[in-house]
Amino acid sequence: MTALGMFARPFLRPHDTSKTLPGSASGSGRASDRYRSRVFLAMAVFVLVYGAICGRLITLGLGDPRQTVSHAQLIEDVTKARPDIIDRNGTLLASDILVPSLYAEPHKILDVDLAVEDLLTVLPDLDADELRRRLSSGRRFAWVQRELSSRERAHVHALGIPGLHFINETRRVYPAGGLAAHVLGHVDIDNRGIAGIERYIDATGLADLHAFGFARGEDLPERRLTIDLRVQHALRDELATAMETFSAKAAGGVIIDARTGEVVALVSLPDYDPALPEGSLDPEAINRITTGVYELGSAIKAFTVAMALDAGVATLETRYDARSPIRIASFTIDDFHAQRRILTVPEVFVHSSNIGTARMALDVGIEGHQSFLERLGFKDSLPTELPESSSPLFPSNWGELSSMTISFGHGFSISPMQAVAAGAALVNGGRLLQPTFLERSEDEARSLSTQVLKPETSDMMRYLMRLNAEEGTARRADLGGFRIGGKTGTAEKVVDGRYSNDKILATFLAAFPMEDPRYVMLTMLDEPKGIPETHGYRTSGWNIVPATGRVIERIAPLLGVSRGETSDVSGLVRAEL
Amino acid sequence: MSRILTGLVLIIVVAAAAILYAQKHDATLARERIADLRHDIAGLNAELDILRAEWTALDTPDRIQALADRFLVLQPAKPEQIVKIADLPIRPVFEPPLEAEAGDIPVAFGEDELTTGSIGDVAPSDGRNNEIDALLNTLTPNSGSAPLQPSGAAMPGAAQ
Repeated sequence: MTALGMFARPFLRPHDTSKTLPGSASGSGRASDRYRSRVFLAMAVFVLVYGAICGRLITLGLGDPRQTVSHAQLIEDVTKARPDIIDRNGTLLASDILVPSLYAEPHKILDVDLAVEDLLTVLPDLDADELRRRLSSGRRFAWVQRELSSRERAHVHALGIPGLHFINETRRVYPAGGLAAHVLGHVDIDNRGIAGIERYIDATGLADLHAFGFARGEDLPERRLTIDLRVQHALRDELATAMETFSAKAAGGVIIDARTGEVVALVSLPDYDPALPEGSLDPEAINRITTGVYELGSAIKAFTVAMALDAGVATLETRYDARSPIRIASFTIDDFHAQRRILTVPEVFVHSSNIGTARMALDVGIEGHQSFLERLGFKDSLPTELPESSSPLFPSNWGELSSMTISFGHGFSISPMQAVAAGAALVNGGRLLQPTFLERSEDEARSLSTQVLKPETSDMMRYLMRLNAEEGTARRADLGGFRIGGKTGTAEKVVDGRYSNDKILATFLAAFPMEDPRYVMLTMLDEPKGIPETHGYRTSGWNIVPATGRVIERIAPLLGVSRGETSDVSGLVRAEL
Repeated sequence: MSRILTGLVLIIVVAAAAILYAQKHDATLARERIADLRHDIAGLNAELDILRAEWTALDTPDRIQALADRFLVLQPAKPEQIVKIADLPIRPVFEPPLEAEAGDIPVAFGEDELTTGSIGDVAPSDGRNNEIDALLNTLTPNSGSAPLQPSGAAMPGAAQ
């Protein structure tokens, strides 16, 4: 090509051509042989030249364009190895950024002392002696400082020290910090997702893309989660406050959309900062909502009552004898708030009568009980996008006693996520939905859901849960006029194979607004202590219930749930009353 | 004839070669420019990513809450303070209170230069003070649900 250029250049000036041409033509006029051979020579030259050009064009066309790698393409290759993660409002939860790292080629540095002195003016944190030693080593490569800010980079660049270079490294950052650590998960040193949604992203094809080198920045669409960072913060803030106030060991909470199963917030405390994933190794930092299984205590009674109503063995007017404890084998089943009288179903629910729910379970029968819990999805682990999920625990021998204790939430363990999914079915018309962290429309949800309860049962449950918030154990959550309803639970924890008297798990299954519930939540506090303000009580009604009320007070306006006069609860139930 | 033809062909060939060279040179320059621009775009995008992350980090609810607790005297909004537009009462028309005591109402009306343009100077009239007090009473939080005095009833007084 260059040869052609040199050859062509003299002819660019027109007056040159006009002089040259007549001269060459006059010399060729005498002998036809000579004339002809010159023509052939000229033709041969042009054929050769154009042949060369064509050949070059063909090789260029066939060749791999990537051979011409420029600086810009190198940068693109390391940008954005992972997609951004955003919350449901578009707030950035996780992103890749390029951070410049400074390295030196020591053998190219002319004056090490001067270089070190200059560098220290910009990066005062550097260890001068160590740096001097490294730069004098004569090796071909030495790190000076990893992960500079862009300002530091500009300053170092301005120093103009020869032999110093920058290289861009990709780093995963979590700007919202530890607010949603258990949902987001984190990545390892090679930017592979190893927990939470990060791992889910890898499992759904990103890892394969990486393997083939296709994962490039602009090609990766951002992943939108159903988490609402504002709600997440409110839940986390109130749970942290409650945990501190009641000196609890741990706390957890999850809020899902009752109609779609979308998880709006998930908090498990103590948590960790995804930027420092070592924190996730602490056994206390597990995700209690999906990974932990617990005996949730009286909150389970909501399901037992729903079972009895749904199976038709009870109506809201059925009465249960709670005058004396039930004695079975060597065990005694008694009530915590003993009424010692005959209770109707709403009274069993509001006074959280163990005796009443145990009798309901007996009326339904062991098989009916088992199949009902299976219908609610309590028998298998509940898969979500989060990779971690534990299997529930049930007694191996399910006799009448098991059925009775299970009716009030003891003797079997499920994850809080399972409870909240089934809780949504209790109030949304009986449709069981698998909770999800990815967007799902109501239509989609309807086609994915399974009808596990009669709609009438769901109506009655909404009435009972609202009643419990008006005059029962959940009344301290009834703040702000958001028509909250729920069922509290205070489970004694098993310590060394025995139920402990002083170690409890306080739980609360709540929904709002009760006339047409939009959000269902489950909150819990592990080993809360009694304090003077609660008169020493540590049952759920005194700690997690008011905390949950405050959460709802904060999030309901954000979620577009408007205040209203407390509706007459009996209006929730149609013909039954 | 053929000499002229040869000359023409030669000129065409030379011109073609010149144009080809010029085009190739332009293409090289354009490619360099594309590479430069790509490099700049990648750099700016990387910077944008950093700024976006930084912005989000500065804007997280827990940070804002901590700052608000420390530096603001404001309280978090209560649910009662959030109402729908449709629930707002019709904007009341205030009478300029003429001999209002300090503390009765938060804003100074009437006698100073701070009067709004819609309300002119009004001559004092003792008889109407009771009417104004009644209007103000309906606006105090304790009786917030009481119906507001219709603005039309107050207007003729202001016009006098």
